[in-house]
Amino acid sequence: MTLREGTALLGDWPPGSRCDTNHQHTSGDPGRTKGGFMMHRKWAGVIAGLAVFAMVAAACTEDTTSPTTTSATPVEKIDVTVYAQGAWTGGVNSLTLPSFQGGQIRFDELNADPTYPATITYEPADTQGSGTGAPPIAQQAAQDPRTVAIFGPAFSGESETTGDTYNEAGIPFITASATSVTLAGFGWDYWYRAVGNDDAQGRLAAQWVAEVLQPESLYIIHDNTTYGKPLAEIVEQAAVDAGVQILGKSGIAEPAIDTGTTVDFASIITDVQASGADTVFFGGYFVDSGPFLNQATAAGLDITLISGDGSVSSDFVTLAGEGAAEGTLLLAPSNVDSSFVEKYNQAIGGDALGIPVYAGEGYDVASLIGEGIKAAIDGGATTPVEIRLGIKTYLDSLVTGNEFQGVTKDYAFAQDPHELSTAADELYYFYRVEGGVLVNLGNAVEVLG
Amino acid sequence: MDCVTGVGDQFWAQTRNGLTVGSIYAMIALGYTMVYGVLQLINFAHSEVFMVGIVASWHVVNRWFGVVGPQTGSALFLVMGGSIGVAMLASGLTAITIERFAYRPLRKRGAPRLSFLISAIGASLSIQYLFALMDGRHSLLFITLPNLQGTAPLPFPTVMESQPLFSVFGAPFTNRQVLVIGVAVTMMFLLDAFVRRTRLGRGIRAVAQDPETASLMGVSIDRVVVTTFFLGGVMAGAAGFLYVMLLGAPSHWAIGFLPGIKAFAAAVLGGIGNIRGAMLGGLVLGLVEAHGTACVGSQWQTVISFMVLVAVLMVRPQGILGRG
Repeated sequence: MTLREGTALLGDWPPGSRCDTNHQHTSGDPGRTKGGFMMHRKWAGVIAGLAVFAMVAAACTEDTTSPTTTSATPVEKIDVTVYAQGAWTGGVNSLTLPSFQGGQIRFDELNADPTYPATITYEPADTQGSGTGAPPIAQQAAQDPRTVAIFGPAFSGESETTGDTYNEAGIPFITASATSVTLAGFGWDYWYRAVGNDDAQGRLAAQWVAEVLQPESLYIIHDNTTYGKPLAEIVEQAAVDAGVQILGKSGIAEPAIDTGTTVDFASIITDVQASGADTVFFGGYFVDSGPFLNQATAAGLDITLISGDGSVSSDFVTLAGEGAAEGTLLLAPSNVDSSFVEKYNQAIGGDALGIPVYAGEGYDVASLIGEGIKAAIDGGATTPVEIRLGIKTYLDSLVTGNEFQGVTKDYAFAQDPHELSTAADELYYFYRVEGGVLVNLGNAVEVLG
Repeated sequence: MDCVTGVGDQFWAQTRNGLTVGSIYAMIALGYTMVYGVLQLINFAHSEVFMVGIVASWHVVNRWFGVVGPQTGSALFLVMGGSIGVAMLASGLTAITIERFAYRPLRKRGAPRLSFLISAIGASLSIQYLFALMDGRHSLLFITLPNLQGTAPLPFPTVMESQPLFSVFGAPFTNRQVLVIGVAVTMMFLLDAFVRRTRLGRGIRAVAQDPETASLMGVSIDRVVVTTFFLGGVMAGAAGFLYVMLLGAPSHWAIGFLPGIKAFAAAVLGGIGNIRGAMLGGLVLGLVEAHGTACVGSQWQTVISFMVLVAVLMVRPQGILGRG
């Protein structure tokens, strides 16, 4: 066993509190779960571990009031790379940049910790959110010999087109924001979703419509994407079950997220007008829902728009226009007013986005990857391939009763597919646009009772 | 039954929608058809000429005039006139530049038609990705590229408040829709008159009919070709302004692709090389799209449009009005 493995004997520290005995999470021992993995080093590892334990314990005794101190004995670090796949740039990056920035904050913390056994290089795999453009970028990330995990893919469409690449390469990929239910059906063993999915989002949106808003009728629009279409169908079915009258449904032939071209919604707006519906649910991203609302208002259509997390963006109001956006209702499995936001704003500074959707989830995904890397190295992994397996072993060990406590929620994963088993209605938040800003109405339990 | 009901209930409103977007298709289609008429070449970079018009409009309104809300009176006239004027000039110059660097060298060397096609596609992609880099964060060969588009999707501001002007059989026409149709019809009329009544227009028609004889009769081929590209670009630039004003679209480097493909289809539908055919093809395509939406749903909009295109070409391969 190596010196790095020895630190596993100390258990895992929560972020930023290296010597805290009140652990947020105690990771499983990947060395143990992999049977004879590195067994021949056992005695050397125990001795080294005890030595490190003694040194760190001494350091803790000397400085128990400053858990973030960096005076502990540095360990030899292994260089690893984590790619973050999604829209770093481009028209839809406001949906994913906060989560990437949250991840950056966490990786910076880990790299600054002298006792952390790896140096994580955080590389952007910038797909601009395009599902069709993502495969070569994912291929490049998967072929990098130092890659140990993928942060993302951020969008459902690009997840669909690149998931096989990562799964076949044996690289764990953990998304903080892709919510489409269809992703769970691909049989990816290395895929983990650290956020609630659209099954609950659609159900709660329909429940909100039926029980709270109580419109006379509903019209449903979707953007024909991997994300928007299934979400709209879930809302439609749940709304019908709840007794809401659906007066029409339309899909977009060429959504802006795929083409960059703003959709001419005139025909759909005419159809909504002809239907007489007073409420519209839009399953899609803000690059389409914003212009739809803008064009609908210009055409004199008086409706209340409801949309999901794809519209929870700093740019939604910009594209819709402040007047048109007023009163729009949104929901997402993310709290944009969480306690993490203050830390996010301080750390990111002028680049922090006004609506930091999934920023906390991004921080947590980076923590999960970081904990996985540590557990892998502590368990004896030295090569990226071994670390990939160690990360997976660690993530698989997070089950009910052995959750990882993140800044947004506890994390435990179901087996096959690795959906969040700790997802619950109170993790979904409802918002209303008022005066050009997003007002948090509370979580689903608070709003729906 | 749903289709019949849908088309019946929304007939006039969808006709209005179709005419509005069809006017824009027609204006773009003119660039394809005029170049084809003169050079027998499909200028696939024409969608980028349209995109340049959009970027120019967006830039003028957002950056030069700093418009943030609806304008009225002379300010509205100044903003719209300035924006469409710059857009037309920018697109016209872009079209000339494409001709100069992507086509003329091939033409002078008597290159085969396939070379023109490859050159067109190359020019199209080059312009697209050049504009993709113009967000204020990139350099090219040690030159910092200008920030034409910004990093975030800034929409075209509401220059003119949308207001209903009148109704036709219960279908209200807003001032924006009337402006789009009005400007498009006026410009198409002027172009048609230019080509039919002026000396240069006669040159264009002569080169389109028989370039060698036209050359022998003293017509400058280069001048006619440049004029043709410029006029097509001017129409596309005006279409770009109308497009963003109608849809409030953010500027995007790929924004020209789909309207460009549809306009090309419209040119073929009307009869490639035929100016009036392009106008008619654009309007027909717009109407088919709009009524197709009411009939079978908007997600099939493009499928229906191209099915109609194929059906028409099967019956009449030369297009509705025939080749020019």
